Amino acid sequence: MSITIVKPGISTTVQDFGRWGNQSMGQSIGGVMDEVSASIANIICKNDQHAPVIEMTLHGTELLFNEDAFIAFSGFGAEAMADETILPFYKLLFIPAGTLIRMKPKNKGCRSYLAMAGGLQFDEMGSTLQSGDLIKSEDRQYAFKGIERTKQIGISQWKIHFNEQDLLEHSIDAIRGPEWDWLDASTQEELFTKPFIVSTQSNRMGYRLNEKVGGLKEKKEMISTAVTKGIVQLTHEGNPVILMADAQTTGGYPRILRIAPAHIAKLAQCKPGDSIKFNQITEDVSILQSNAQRSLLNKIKSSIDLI
Amino acid sequence: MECTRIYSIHDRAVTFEFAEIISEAINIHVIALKAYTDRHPFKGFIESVPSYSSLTIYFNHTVTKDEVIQTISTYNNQLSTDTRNPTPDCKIIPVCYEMGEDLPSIADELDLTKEKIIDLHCSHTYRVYMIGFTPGFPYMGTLTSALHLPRKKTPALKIEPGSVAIAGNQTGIYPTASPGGWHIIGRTPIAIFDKKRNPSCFLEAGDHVRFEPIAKNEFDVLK
Repeated sequence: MSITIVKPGISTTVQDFGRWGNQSMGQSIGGVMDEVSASIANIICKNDQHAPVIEMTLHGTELLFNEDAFIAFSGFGAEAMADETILPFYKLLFIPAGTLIRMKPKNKGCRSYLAMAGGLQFDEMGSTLQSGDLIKSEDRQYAFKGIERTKQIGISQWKIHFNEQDLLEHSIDAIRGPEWDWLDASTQEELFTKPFIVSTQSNRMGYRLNEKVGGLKEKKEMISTAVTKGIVQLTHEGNPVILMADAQTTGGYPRILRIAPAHIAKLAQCKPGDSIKFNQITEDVSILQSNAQRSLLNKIKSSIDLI
Repeated sequence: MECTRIYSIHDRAVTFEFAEIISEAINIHVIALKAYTDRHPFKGFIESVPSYSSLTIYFNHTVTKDEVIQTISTYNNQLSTDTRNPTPDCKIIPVCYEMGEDLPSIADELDLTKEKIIDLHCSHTYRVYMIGFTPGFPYMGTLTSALHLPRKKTPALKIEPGSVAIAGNQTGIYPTASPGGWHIIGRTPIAIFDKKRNPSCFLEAGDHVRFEPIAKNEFDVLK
């Protein structure tokens, strides 16, 4: 079972849900940017929720299926086309050998995920895919109720239902960061009232925001200390930078905010040019949100298990 | 040693800070607390990440932040009576200073001869305070004050792997090709980071390091 990358598009990677245990050696955790969408694609394929998936940034990716496969798309970065057929997201699909799938512009979110029944295997987890790369999967005959294995593309009758808007709106909950007290009062207010534009200098490591904010009460240098996904650093130029999945392990800029973990998936779907706003919450509320997100995924999983 | 501040950097990561300065005594304590925690993993523990003067504990949702703080505080108290790790052996890093592209310019800036800079850089034993920035990059100190220089105003876009560099009161080695703002004074043939090797990092926090000058032909043989 394998897929050939015909065109890698803007940026395509195979991602797991992070590689822990090596941060003290400076190795970042990595993993999918939008854990909610990636989990849903795996759940549809009856995979382990955290099995590796293909992450595609915006459009341009072209994938050739060398054998028959059961797959699912999720996320909002592009439209999937096989010849003139639009392949729906959030449904189980049967793809016959020889099918070429092209990811076309959609202008909704930023990232799409492809999961395959049996999971995906790739040695260079997280590295940018090139034309000709081969992604393998377990060689097993899968069968799913209600979807035929024929020479045609098969599409499940059912679809996963959840509120798409939950991942597409741009109000981002954040908690005061470790160096919040270093900021002057007007900057503290600015952070939670001003809209910010995601800069074109944004990637899987971090999102740079175009607008500058005031600054520190007094000039103060920080010594390098731990940072992680969700930390918002204030650079010397005054632009906030939100650290994302490929965040470095340590940093020396003041950490003014941290994004609620449950809202990272929304940020993952923000494109350069999108406007976001921070909304202040407490850590207790943030933990409740993460629990609710876990329950939602469990609920989707139970509904799929019934099919 | 008492924590000066305990704070979250994530709902599931809490940092125990012992100072806001670079100090060898504090870094020794941080590394000892990391070693103790790694030897006594608790329910929900993922990993511990040391920096100059703080230790960050990552954990999963099966344990609460308060429980983690309580456990680590207990470990920290036990540590003060625990025997400290003995001074580690000194690792020798061969350096070809002829390949230090910034050596001529910083010799002017510091008003020292190239030979004197090499001599000063090689005559100290350094401590690896932390690994960060890129996989395997060791932040080492403390550099003798005669060699202190601010970072470059414009960082170099591509620095060769193995480049030995200085900035402020620190010295470091770029493990992989990357941009960087430190001054390059030489290059080592040793692979500082190799993903396929176990352990992948040649150095770890707490190590002691000395540099030894080698000629270009020795570099080529060792490489």
